[in-house]
Amino acid sequence: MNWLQRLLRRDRLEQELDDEVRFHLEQLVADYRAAGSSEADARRRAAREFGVVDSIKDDCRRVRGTDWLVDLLADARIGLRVFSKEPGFSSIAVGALALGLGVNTVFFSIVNTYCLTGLPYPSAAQLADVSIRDDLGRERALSPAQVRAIADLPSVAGLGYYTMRTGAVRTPESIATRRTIAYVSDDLLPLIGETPTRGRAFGSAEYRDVHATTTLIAAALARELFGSEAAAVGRDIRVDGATATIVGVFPDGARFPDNADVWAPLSSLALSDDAFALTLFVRLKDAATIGGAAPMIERALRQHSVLASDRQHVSVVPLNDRYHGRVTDPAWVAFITAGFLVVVIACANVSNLLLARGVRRTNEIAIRLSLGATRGRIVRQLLAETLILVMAACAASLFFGWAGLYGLLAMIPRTALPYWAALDLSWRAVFFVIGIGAVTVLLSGMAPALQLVKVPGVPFTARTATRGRTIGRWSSAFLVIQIAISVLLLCAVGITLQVYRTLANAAGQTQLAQVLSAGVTLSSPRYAVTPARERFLTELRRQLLSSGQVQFVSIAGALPGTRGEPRMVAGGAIREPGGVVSTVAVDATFFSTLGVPLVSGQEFTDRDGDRGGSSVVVNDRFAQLFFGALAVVGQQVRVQSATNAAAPDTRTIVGVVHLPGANPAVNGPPLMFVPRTAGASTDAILLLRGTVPADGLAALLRESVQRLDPDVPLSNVRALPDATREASWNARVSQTLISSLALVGFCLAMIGVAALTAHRVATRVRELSIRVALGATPAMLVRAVLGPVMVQLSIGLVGGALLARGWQRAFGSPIAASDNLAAVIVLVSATTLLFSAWPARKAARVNPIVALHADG
Amino acid sequence: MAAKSDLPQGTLDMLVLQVVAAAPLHGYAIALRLRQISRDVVKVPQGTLYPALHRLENRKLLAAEWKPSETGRNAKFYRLTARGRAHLKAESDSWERLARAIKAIQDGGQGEPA
Repeated sequence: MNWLQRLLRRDRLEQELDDEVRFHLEQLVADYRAAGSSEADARRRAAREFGVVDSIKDDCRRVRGTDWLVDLLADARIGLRVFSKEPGFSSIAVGALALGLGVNTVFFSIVNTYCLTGLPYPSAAQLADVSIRDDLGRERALSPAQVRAIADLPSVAGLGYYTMRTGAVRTPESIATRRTIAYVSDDLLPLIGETPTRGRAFGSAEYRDVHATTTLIAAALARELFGSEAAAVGRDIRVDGATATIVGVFPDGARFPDNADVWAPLSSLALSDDAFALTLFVRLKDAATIGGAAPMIERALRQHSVLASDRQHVSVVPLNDRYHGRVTDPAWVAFITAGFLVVVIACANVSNLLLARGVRRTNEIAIRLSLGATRGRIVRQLLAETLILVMAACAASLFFGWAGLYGLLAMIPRTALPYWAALDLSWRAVFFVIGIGAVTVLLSGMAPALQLVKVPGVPFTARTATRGRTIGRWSSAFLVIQIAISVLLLCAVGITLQVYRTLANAAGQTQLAQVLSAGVTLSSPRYAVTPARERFLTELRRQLLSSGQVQFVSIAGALPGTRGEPRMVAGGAIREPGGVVSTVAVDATFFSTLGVPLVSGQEFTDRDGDRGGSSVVVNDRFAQLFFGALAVVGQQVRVQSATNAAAPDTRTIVGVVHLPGANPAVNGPPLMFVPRTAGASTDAILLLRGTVPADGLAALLRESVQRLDPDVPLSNVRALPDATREASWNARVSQTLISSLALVGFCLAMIGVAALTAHRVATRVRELSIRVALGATPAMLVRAVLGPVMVQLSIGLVGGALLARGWQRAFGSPIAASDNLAAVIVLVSATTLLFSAWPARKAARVNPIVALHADG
Repeated sequence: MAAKSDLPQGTLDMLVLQVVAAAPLHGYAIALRLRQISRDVVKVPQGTLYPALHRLENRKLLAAEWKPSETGRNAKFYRLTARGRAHLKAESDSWERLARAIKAIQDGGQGEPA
């Protein structure tokens, strides 16, 4: 019988033990009787001969090895009784812990997705990513010549490379849609271990054929275009205007390298040797380490004279690190630390709550100690009670975590997450919560339990006189910090709310809602040259304007108000050299289309674009951040790309614009509008303002494009405010995370206020009783309890205001603006009073006779 | 707390196994046999046998079965398992070696232990 069977059959074992012992004793008695003893004498001698029955039975039970579990179950039963006896206390403690654990569940799930879960390729751990970076860390793609030089190295066991493009995909019958196309080398798909589940992979002949007309597609696209994956194999689709035959379909979950929809052999692009377009993965032979690979590859590239300059260096990182952060990166460490801090704060507050309740149970504990219970036994019992609270909190936190992740996902556009990022409540997260729950039991339960069993028989209020004051001082300081941080975080939330209000008002009131935006991709070979692209756009603009429904058509490089290409600015009177701004290439009609006149200066002219553009228009946020009170128009700035190695150029600010929905003092990125060079890019944003609402223009736009070229795809066709909102999901998610953290921190601080006040009332019962006996009224007692809370609140508010001011100075966000700060101070003060008044009521109900009698 | 016997630690298990090796016995009979065979030298509070019996049963050195005793009442009879027999042999050999060594030391090193 193993220990589990012994545990499950313990009633039967108990009965058998009884029977066995009774049989033995009766045999002994019978023998003594037979030897001539009286009944009483025989029983006495038998008992002496046998030993202490209860003690022997205990020894037998211990031999079973299950008594610890039996005791634990008994403790749990008592814990459940205590839990249900005080539902108010239990729900507050569970709520506090659940908030702390819930925040960590969400945080852990994010960390798990981005740092701990590797890429979903069987061989990802053995692969390394090779890139070339300049002195500023900016990455540059590789050229075919460079890849060939690396492929010859003896340490390289295998390599694969690809380039990604957005292009037009359609069936002969459907309209074109914008898709991600991966052009892959012959070894790439076998290298990562992915194969189509329908049809076949590319053959080696297809990889060599520059006229290859075969393609592989993703399962989702197959279902969308043909109804099923099986139906797609063998069918024709048009990719960037050329017809290709689908030879295979990848399964769901295989969209390597980054949400690709279509795969084609790289040879079909016929890249020249110096086309810097390739991303390279290598598998190194066992002897070669990743650390030693970079210098080796760099040496090879220099020997082949295919590295452009001495300022370029090779970087080799494990493939997982290219797509995932490392958990040791400072940003992730800060993220994880923030989560743990929340748990620690929750534990400290619950610990105070438990101590306050424990004081009321001093008598019960003293009685149990005097009846023979060991201190260890009582500590275990108290920890079991905490365990019940934490188990309930863990269950609630999983729900909070699930709801939090669900909410988070609802804010992120489906295409914004990499296909492998499953931001869900994984089993790993469940185990994490259980693990952190166990730590929580110790963190929140151990200190009060040890404090309560310290000196049995001595009233708690008397023995904690000195130590209690020390604990009280720490608790008070801790509470002041919590209030101060709450003020800071709520100020941040207040500003976020103002931003949302500004955006909502702007979207409703301004003319931006009448502007239709759409992405247009001119990726097919027929638009390989700039004049062809510009011809298409000019003709489209002409057709739209001639329809009579469209007043303005503008072409831009990115949506206004969102992040375009990041560039670093410096030079002249600029306050923060090296700051990164978003640059958006726009044409001369851009501001007219938006209906936003310039605040100062002048708009671009058509000639600005032709010149290559030395003029720039900036938004008011840019002007405030980089020039403060200085006049901006006429200033010169030096601009350098933050992502590629293009040389810097100097530009003159010719105008300042204010975009509706952005408050220059509060939010919005600093923007720099540069004149759009005609046909510079295959991707452009079309902006249309018409005499009809934006939605009405969508059909007209689609018809016009379809008429001009059915292989040109439109994307994100929607009213400008909607498109901007979706494009700025990243900022929205960050703001929501900060707001959630602020609210959780605030809730915990208020629970801390309640716990500390309750603890204070419990430990001051004797003093309060004497005050009542000396004539104090209930109101005076409440004031006596609330006095220290007011002091802590005042210090916390001042500390919070100072923190907010420091934050404002450091980050430029005006969170310490007087109206915002005043609202937060009123909110925190009122809530603190409310939460401390609840336990302080008990002070008003102190009965001196009962209290002094109990302590005496 | 049960009264302690003055047997060296670990010997009670071996003695119990030895007694049960001859035939299946219940706890009371085992206590009697221990006294009889040792001619009252081995005296343990009889109750202390039970934790030892249960421990040996849990270790699968003994197997137990409820069946009618000589008085007609049901009693729990313990018998030696194959594993118990092997364990007993190993323990007895070890004990004999130790006893011979102690004897040799007492005899002043005149007879070397085998």
